[in-house]
Amino acid sequence: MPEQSMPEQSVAQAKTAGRRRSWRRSRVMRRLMRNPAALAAMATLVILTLIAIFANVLAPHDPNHVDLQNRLLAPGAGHLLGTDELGRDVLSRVLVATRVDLLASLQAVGLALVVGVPLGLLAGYAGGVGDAILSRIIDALMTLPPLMLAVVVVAILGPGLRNAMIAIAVLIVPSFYRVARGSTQSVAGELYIESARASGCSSWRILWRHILPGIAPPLLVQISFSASVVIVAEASLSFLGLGARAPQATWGLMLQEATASITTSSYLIYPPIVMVAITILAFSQLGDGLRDALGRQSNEGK
Amino acid sequence: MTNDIVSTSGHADEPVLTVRGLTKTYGRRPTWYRRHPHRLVAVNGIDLEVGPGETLGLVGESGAGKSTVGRLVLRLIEPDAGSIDLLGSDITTLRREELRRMRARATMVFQDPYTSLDPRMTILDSIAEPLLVQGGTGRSERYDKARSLVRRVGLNDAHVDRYPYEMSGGQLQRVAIARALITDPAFIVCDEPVAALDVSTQAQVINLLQDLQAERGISYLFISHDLRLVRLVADRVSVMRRGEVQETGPADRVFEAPEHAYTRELLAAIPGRTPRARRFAAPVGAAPAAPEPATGPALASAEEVVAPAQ
Amino acid sequence: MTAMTTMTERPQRDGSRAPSVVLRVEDLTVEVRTEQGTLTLIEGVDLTVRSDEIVGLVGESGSGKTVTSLATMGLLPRNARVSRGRIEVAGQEITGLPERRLADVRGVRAAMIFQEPRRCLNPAFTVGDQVAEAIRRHRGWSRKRAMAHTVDLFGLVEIPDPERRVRQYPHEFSGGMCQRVMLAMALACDPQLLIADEPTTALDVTVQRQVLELIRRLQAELGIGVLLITHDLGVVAEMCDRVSVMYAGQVVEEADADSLFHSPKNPYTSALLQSILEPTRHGEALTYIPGRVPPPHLFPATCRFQERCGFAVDEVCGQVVDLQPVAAGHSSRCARVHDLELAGVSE
Repeated sequence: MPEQSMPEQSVAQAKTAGRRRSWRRSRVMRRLMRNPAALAAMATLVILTLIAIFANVLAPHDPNHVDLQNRLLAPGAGHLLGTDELGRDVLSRVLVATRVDLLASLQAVGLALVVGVPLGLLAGYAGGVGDAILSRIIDALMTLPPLMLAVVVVAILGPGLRNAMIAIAVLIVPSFYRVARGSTQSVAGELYIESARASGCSSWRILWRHILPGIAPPLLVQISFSASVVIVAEASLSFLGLGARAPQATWGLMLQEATASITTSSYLIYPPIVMVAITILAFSQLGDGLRDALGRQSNEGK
Repeated sequence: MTNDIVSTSGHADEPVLTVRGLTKTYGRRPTWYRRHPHRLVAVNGIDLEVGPGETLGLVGESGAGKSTVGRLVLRLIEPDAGSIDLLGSDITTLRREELRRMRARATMVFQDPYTSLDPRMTILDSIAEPLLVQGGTGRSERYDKARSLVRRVGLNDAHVDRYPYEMSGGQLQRVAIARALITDPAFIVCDEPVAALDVSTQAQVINLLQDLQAERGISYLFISHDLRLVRLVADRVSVMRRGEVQETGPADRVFEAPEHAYTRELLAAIPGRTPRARRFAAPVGAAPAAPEPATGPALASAEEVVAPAQ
Repeated sequence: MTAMTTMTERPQRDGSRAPSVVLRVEDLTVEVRTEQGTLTLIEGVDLTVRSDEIVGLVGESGSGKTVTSLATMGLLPRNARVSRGRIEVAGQEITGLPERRLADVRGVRAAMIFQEPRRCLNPAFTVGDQVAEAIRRHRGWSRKRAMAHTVDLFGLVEIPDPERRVRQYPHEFSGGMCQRVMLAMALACDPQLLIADEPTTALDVTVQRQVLELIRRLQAELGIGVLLITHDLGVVAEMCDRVSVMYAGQVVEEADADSLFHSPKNPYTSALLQSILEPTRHGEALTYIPGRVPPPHLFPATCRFQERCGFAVDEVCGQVVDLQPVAAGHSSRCARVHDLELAGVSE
């Protein structure tokens, strides 16, 4: 009908003014920019990424150079953050670990995305028996205690950072599946999907060209939150000795090594803890910011 | 657009669409543990026929099942029973790929132009898409045809790179019409094509649909709740109520000499064009009177039909 | 049990009493803050509704008719405000009233019904409870007394079998019946003004006719002034005594219904009248207004209809135009009002 009558009407009228508002993406960016927390999170992530890329250049020492003469040095002029049990430079190790951790979480999120999203798309669009069975399996996966699930996967595959990441990917696949399935169901109910069918689009094209772009915003939010989950999970698994193996430098492993000498050299535990905390905070704040910025926009799209 | 699978549109006077005994029921089928599930018969054994270049108006109130019929004849939803002969093929038995080919020849214009176009596609891409998915055309060929249709429906080149949210309802409905036309269909289902538009814009879209029909000999199944509109555009009319066709006939006959009581009720309820004896003359405190017999309390029960989702 | 009992219980306020002005809007201007800056949605709107009439407020989407009605009820959204003008509901000035006092005006002096009645009802409560709740809130009556009054009101709005229906839930009501429930709720506290915003747009024609007739009867019997907001000139023709036509945030013509339909004095009104569908025509091309209503940030300072107007002459129309009287009770906002012969509808 020509008029909506509820109070939104006047707002809608005001919005016609914004009709020439252009390019929703830049609009989302503008909203993000106006959110200080999201802005700080983005800046932090940019810095972390730069550290990861230039870790080798930035590191003052070889992170794996064992120097038993200078074990457990307190922070000072030669070693800004001190040295560990094997005399390795902690600053260098923490910088290199940034690269390892970010790359690892990229792998885990990427893997979960590649598995979870297509399954969610298909289940959400096709529905029926396949959807019912798949959703039950995913539900069952989510009822298992996450750490136990990871331990089981690592036990099957053997320890190591790569296997730990596969375990973590298994852990977060359900959340991607659920977001993809739920969003697909709501987009699939839109009239333009029916219109695409009436125009002779195949199911593949509808999924790829019409539904996937529609579910991208919630997925983006989910990616950001998942990245922080992955960082924590990596630290936990490495701490338990199920993730990265020495002499590789990851935050979790550094934390584990630091606990051995916690009574004598407590300063060793701070660098990895601070890095983990900063990174998960940045990812989750970015996720919040994205959700707000996209959320308002997706309401307007109607 | 020639089509190898369904090119049998046949002789000039053969019907474009013939529907017999079409039935659609929503809800679960009875099973051994649920003998009497809640079921809703949306369309109950209806017959329709649309000739070449003809407009069949399908009128009725909400819940009558008209939109369901529109989707059934294009097999956007699956019928439970009945035959649908569309452009010479029995559409109920077409396989997936044949059905997709058929969509080039028989398509649909929806009620709400704001939501019937993908918000993330430009106008030009939206219009060209049906041609793209049929295959066999080059990019420039598609875009040239889309551009010429943009001009044909009364928009201009400045509009083609816009997104749907940048345009008005009337403009969007023109885009939807251009999109429907690009594969040169012989039959279009128009499902309340102007119900979401303002009065001054409605007329523009209706004129456009009429001109296109005269130009290209397209057949329409024109679904509307607005009898004035149907009178204007339809050659023949079917009146639906509660999933059944009450009355079918030439538009002039149905509107001037309705045979069915329900048609008469509908016609009597149309608001007039001029102010006339409006003042309600009942004495204060009197029991509610029935000012016009045709629309009085007799209708109270008619209103109680629970509307299914259309 | 139906209308009779209700009438005795209600304060007598039938058509026999001298009609009074129940709504007076003067120079109403509403602004809204957006990301693009402050926009003026409606400008200088004047409107009067007496207790013995139904006034139609007509316009296309974007004309500002709904903003006008929301401002009248003090229901503007947070980012909009009345920047100029006065609104008097049943003698009470409401601009600048705090929210708590506004709530008293709503319901007691003025009530509103909307296009989609079902969305205004809470699906979790029976309709009777919801109407009774409105009565209790405004009058402080006991639950029992309020429910008895609700049954009376259901009778008044011609809901069959009111004792049973008050115990049902909204999903058990059809669209037309829901609108009757909303009417009952609106009448719960004897308002003097009823604002009906597209009350029948979402309803089928036969049901529309019943609801319109009910509104007309209630107006006459209870002496309530009705402001009927609609885009449908057919509904206006059937219902209204006087009509205000809005275009792009301004009133462009105001007259009694007969003058407006038979001898409109504004080209926009005339064009709208030509676009009403005649139920008898077939196959002809329809007349229409080219272009569309400009959005608020593109409202021209001069005549706002100029660029779509078939009678526009640059020298005359390129100036600010005021609403000017052309006959008794008939005014139009058109620079060429005195030298135009405009077509209305014929019988």
